Amino acid sequence: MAQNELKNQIRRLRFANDEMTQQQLADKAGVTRQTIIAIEAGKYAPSLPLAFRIARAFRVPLEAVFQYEEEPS
Amino acid sequence: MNRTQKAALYGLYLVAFMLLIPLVDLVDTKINPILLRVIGYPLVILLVLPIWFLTKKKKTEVDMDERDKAIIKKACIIAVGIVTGGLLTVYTFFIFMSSSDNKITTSTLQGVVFFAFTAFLLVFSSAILIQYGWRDKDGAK
Repeated sequence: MAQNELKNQIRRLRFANDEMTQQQLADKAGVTRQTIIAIEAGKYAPSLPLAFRIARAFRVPLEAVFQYEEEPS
Repeated sequence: MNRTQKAALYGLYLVAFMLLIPLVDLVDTKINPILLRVIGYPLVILLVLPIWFLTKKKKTEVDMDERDKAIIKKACIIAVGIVTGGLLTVYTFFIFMSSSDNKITTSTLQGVVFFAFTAFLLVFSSAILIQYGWRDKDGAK
């Protein structure tokens, strides 16, 4: 059975965007800082609207922030 | 710590107070009413005071989002499941243990309702705190 994993580039993108803090990103995306922490650590998969809001905060397409990988186990 | 976590902690705080009620009843049934007021009024203030901290809201920050709602929903499902299971067990126990007339006293029923509410609050609050705990363990960078 294949394992699905949602990877993200949030940490890298934050530093590429003038070292944006987690709080600044949270304010732009309209969520709490804890949610950004959880998403960044891969512990929480955001909803599609939230994923788009995060991508919009970095002014990049969704695929540049989130990558869906299917790993065979 | 966000608002949901604070509310969950307040839930546990309430449970501790609710467990004090039967404990006081067990220890001494003849407490001086004046002494009860002297102890009781500050306890009520202690009970109400955290609500002020919970309702205090920073205007700039988002205090609840989709993840918080998902955590609350999951905690609610867990609490309802456990309390329903517990109540079914208790009622089954009463059916088998009760006398042939199948009656239970109103005080027993009150006790069951009190137990159910306390258990719900305990499981619900704990489930919220546990979910935040294991998800946020090493996330803060």
